Amino acid sequence: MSAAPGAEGEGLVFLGKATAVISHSIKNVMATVSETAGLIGDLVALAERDPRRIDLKELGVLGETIVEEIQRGFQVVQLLNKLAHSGDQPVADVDVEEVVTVVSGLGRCLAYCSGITRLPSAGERPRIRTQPLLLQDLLYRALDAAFRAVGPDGEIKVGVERGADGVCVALQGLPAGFRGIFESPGVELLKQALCARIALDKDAGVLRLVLPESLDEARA
Amino acid sequence: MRVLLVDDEKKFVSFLATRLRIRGISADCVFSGEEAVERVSSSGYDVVVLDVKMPGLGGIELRRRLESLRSGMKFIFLTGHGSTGDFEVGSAEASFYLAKPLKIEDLIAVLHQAVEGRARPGEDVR
Repeated sequence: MSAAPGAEGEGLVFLGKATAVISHSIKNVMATVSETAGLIGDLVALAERDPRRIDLKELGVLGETIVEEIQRGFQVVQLLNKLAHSGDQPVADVDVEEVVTVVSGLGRCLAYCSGITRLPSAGERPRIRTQPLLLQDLLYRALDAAFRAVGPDGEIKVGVERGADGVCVALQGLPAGFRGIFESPGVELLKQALCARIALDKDAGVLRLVLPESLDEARA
Repeated sequence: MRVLLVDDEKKFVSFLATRLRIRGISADCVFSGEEAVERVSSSGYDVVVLDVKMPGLGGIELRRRLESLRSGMKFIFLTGHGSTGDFEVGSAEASFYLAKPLKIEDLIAVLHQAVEGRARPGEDVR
């Protein structure tokens, strides 16, 4: 159970949004596969009328496109599976890098936040005990706000590091006018539920989400 | 009939344009709203087929920009979503919608409907 009443509802809304984003991506994959297969059919039909028009190289490239699109679709389905399982346990031991990977993957499904660069972490991958679904929601909101500020062609670097007061997920590359993600009541609920601290360094253009090592201990 | 296709799914829109050209329809494609504005500034089109959700200039705002550049064009919205509730296109009577994945015959029928004001079945190349 969350320490912030209503936070679970926020998590459910996030899961709904994420599912919508992913279904949109899957439809785009299917649309490309459909047009590629349709074009192969058209080219074959034209070649049946005039065999000199057959271009085996072009057909090969189109076949490769179908394979690539199926791989893209498979990755999106894997992402959906990971998101769906994040709600299995309200509180769990979580690999923070993995959470960043899942949320970054979701961001890449969105047309306007594909420019996510991961920063390599030093040392072992930090694990914390937290609410995975709500952490994904908070990180997604942070990425969404960041990309709305930098624009669709912008780049946000995301790094994870262990600090004295917990594990920090840092979003770098924010523009001078970035106002943070503090204004939403939903963010406040998530912050309370996760016992998280959110800090914006305007001069450096860095947003930091600082999470306790153990949610149970932080609440105690 | 001159058609401009606008979608950030590059392969999808490129192959769709090729399939229309095979069927005798003059079709160009661009991969962003910004490119579409540039293209329409210099060339005339009868119909613009555009994705609702694109990075940068999305389909809804793009339609407004293109209408201010050149009047008389028809617009067909494409979406990855299946629900018409996803659309907020203002004067809906001037717009047409198709959900992805689409059948080329359906697109051609809607293109004719948009330009001529009546439906005509899409031709099969086979």
